[in-house]
Amino acid sequence: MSSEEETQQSLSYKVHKSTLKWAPVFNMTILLSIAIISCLIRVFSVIRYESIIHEFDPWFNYRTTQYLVKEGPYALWNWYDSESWYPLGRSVGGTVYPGLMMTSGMIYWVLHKLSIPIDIRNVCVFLAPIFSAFTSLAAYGMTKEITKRSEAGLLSALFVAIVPSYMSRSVAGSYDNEGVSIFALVFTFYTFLKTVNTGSILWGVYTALAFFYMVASWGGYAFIINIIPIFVLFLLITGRSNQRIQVAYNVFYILGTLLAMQIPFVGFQALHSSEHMASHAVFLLINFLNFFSWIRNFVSKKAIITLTKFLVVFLVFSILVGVVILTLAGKTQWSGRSLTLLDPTYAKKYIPIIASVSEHQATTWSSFFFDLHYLILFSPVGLYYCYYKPTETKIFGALYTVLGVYFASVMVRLLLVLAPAVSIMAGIGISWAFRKFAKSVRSFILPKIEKPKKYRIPPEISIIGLVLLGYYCSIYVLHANFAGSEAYASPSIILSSRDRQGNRNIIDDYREAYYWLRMNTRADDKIMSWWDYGYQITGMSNRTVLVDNNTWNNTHIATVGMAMASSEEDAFEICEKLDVDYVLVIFGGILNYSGDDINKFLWMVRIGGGVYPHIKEEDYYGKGTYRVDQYATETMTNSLMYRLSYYRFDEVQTAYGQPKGYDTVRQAVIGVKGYKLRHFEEAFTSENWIVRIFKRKQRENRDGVAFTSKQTSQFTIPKESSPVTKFSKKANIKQRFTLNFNE
Amino acid sequence: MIIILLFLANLINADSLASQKTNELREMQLRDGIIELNSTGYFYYTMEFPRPYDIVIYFVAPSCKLCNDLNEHYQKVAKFYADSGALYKSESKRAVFFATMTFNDKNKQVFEQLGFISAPNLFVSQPHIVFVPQDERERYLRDMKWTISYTDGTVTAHKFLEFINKRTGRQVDYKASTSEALTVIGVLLGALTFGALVFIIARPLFLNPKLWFIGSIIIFIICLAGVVYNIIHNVPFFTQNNKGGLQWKTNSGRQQLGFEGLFLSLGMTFVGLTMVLILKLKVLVKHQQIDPFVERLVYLTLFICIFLIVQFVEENYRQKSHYNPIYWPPRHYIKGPLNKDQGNSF
Repeated sequence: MSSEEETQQSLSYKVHKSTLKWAPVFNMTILLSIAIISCLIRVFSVIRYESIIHEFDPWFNYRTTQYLVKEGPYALWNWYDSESWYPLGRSVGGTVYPGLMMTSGMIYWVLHKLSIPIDIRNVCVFLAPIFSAFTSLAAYGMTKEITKRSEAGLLSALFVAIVPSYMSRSVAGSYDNEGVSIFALVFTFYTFLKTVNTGSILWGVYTALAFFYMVASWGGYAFIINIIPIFVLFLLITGRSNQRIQVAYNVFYILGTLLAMQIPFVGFQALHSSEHMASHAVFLLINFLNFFSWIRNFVSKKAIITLTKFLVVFLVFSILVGVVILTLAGKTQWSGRSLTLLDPTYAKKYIPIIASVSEHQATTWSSFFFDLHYLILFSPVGLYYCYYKPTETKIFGALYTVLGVYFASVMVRLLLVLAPAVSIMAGIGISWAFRKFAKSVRSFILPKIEKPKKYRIPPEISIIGLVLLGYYCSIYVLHANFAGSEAYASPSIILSSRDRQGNRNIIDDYREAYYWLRMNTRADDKIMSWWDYGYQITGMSNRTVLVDNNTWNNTHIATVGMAMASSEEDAFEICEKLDVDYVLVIFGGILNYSGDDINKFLWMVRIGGGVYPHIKEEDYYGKGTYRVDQYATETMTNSLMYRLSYYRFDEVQTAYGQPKGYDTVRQAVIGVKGYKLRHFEEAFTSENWIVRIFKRKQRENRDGVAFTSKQTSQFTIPKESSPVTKFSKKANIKQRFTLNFNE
Repeated sequence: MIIILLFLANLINADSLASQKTNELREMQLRDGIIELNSTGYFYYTMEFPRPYDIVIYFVAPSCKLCNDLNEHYQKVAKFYADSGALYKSESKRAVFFATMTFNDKNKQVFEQLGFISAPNLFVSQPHIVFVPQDERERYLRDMKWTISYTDGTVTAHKFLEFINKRTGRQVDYKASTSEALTVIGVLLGALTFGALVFIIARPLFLNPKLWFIGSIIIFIICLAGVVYNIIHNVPFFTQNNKGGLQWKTNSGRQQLGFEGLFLSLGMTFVGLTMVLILKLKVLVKHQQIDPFVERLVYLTLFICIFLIVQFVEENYRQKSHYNPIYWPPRHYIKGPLNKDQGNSF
């Protein structure tokens, strides 16, 4: 060996040595940068639009938070909101997961105590990005508990920090439960795995606390309360259970269930709802087995066998008798609800309100690919690694992934639960591959440290592998960047479009209209709209709505659906019964905005028809398809939704080379032109016609009452003083009627 | 005095007629399960006062397939009602009877009066129908009748019950018959026993992590293929395109075909599996002596394989929706000029 080579080698050894020395520092620096990046990538929405609450549900959360900050937590507990679900109202305190609001309330109060006068809106807007940083830290911890390797943890943290699926729910302004609860989910798993690894009761308590936070913030906690029992059951069946598992599960179950019951919305459901059944059963099973093995120490082998036989027979027999008795007594209900458990497609086929929500749709491969990108491609590698030499924690990771994939395939929205699992699996898999490739390269450069082994991959191949994986990782980052800055950045209440010169135009119709409502209607006016816009109207216009995104009362929503689907006369009757003052419709025919009410109309018909069977879906199909042109059916063109949406639409030209009244979304000329409204009048139409608001007129006089009667024509108005002072307050209404006559 | 007596007599008479009609209906339902009404019966029992009861009538037409299919459910509902004591009036609720009418030339009038133009129809007739004035009749009837058609989805006894309960004010629940319940229990127990047996026999197999891996990958592929989506939306495996050729994928971002989902799901999973193969290849062939050149060739092929599959998946996605991974936000996204990028308050 020449001296030159020697110095070169010693240099590389030196580099290697110092790198090893500084590795923990690198580790922490990288982790910190990942946390910062996860925050920054979510702020695109604020930079491109503004610091505003997004979409639909966040508006309710924001309004509740405002209430909390203003009135305090006890007032929130007892808040009965009369502005929604008119005339029923909604008891908010008992039907809300308060975790999100409490969190931002806390931050707000702490900052104000520190004399930082931050606006509550900004707390709400930036809460989700901050929590996503915590999520990436928790994912690092969880992966480290699974594999005991920091590099896997770092990759997982990076992947989870920017995974598009998670980003879709946690960009700045997306102030929704998921924003904080994905952190709670991952953190619960991290603490649980820590307990499994250490068997420490203290960590078990932490798990229960993390679980409590999860229950307080999202209904998705059901996933945790099911996956942990399934995991324990799996270990029991495969004979891998041990004392650490028992400690972890018992502490988690007992404390977790007790804590979950403290949330009013959950309450005793934690005991008797079907979502919690698995946890009870596994708790009994694990303790029974424990008890049995303890008895074993004191009883002879023969007796044990007899005892086992007796117990098995007894159990089977008692279950059989119990089930038969319950069935014969009619206590068990084999109703639609139990079918939903057995068949995930049931609810979506038969309950239109569930099927109508786009995030409840089943997932196609393309959604998987866009929202999880390369992670879904490389997670099988991580799965293999976990099964190769399984430990309890690795089994947990794999189970979480497999169950997550199943749930995600049932509902698009649950991709969110899958996202951390896939990130962690891909992180484990890719870091494993990186390690193998790196080892082979190292053993080529530094043969003294990394002994060449028989099963090493050839170094030149390893370099190709490293380059390819590095390339894929960077493409993933770019894709996530795209998703964060383009795909998921839009607040959806502000739209933007580009003209031919590439300039961006902001379309602010929603806020324009909501502001109009706020300034031009009476404080107690009731606004009827489809339920999608309920939260926004109460949040931005501060007016009472009939239905909103809470969708707890199907009949009420169906009534609104029926009103929209009925003819103007019938709708008027319904509106009058419900005290409706204004009707708000969303119309995209001018601007080619496809998410408008005409496109949602079929769902209104379906939901309405589910409760009021005289509304038939087929009545709205002209020539077999849903259409608005001249072939549209009479029921369709007479419906309130059609009449309000297309009112005066034939006066405008929307597209070049098309006649007036050309609907750009449906790409057809509307079928009915030049009609007048009888019971409603146009009150407001926004700049681009996206929001149209109509006022319900007073009931017309009955024909012939006022003017055919001879007495009326001879009626003389009292001369002295104004009539108002003369009539009592009660008579005021009468007087209004007489004035109406004269009009 | 005479007037009062007459009135009383009339009242007693009406009372006795009412109970007589109720008894007749009850007897008929107890005898036949469901009362067969002809047009005379319809007018006598529903349109002539006194009638202190509700009648649910199921209007069908001969040779109507849907009617026959739903008949079974209707009979079930009638039985649930009879079992819950609805044949007798209770404190606040009227008795409820179940009848059926089949369309023919003689009772055409009834169908026309109620405005039925198709079958089957379900109609809940209540006493105050007699008093409803002509101009409000249509609206009143609309709430009481249900013309069943294919857009109502799968109509079950549950839906019938919901409809009738809402109008009669009774809360009659679906109860599985003993035989039905026992079948369900039997199937469940059978499945459990079978599972337990399989587990006991093939226990070592189940304890093998390799099998877990295979099972997980199968679940992974099935779920990624969007099988639930395919089932809910009844998606075909292939369709024909405009030219009559075989079409295996759609270009719409929100839809997919059966084969498309499966094929791409296989592709995506295959990338991961190939990666595993690369990492494990040496261990798999540890007993054979391989020429280093061939070995490197195999590795290279596998890498190219991964690369091509990823390209394929991306290409397919690009056809469905916007996809642009080589993307960098333009300058003004990163630091926007306040006056140009409207609404910037950060």
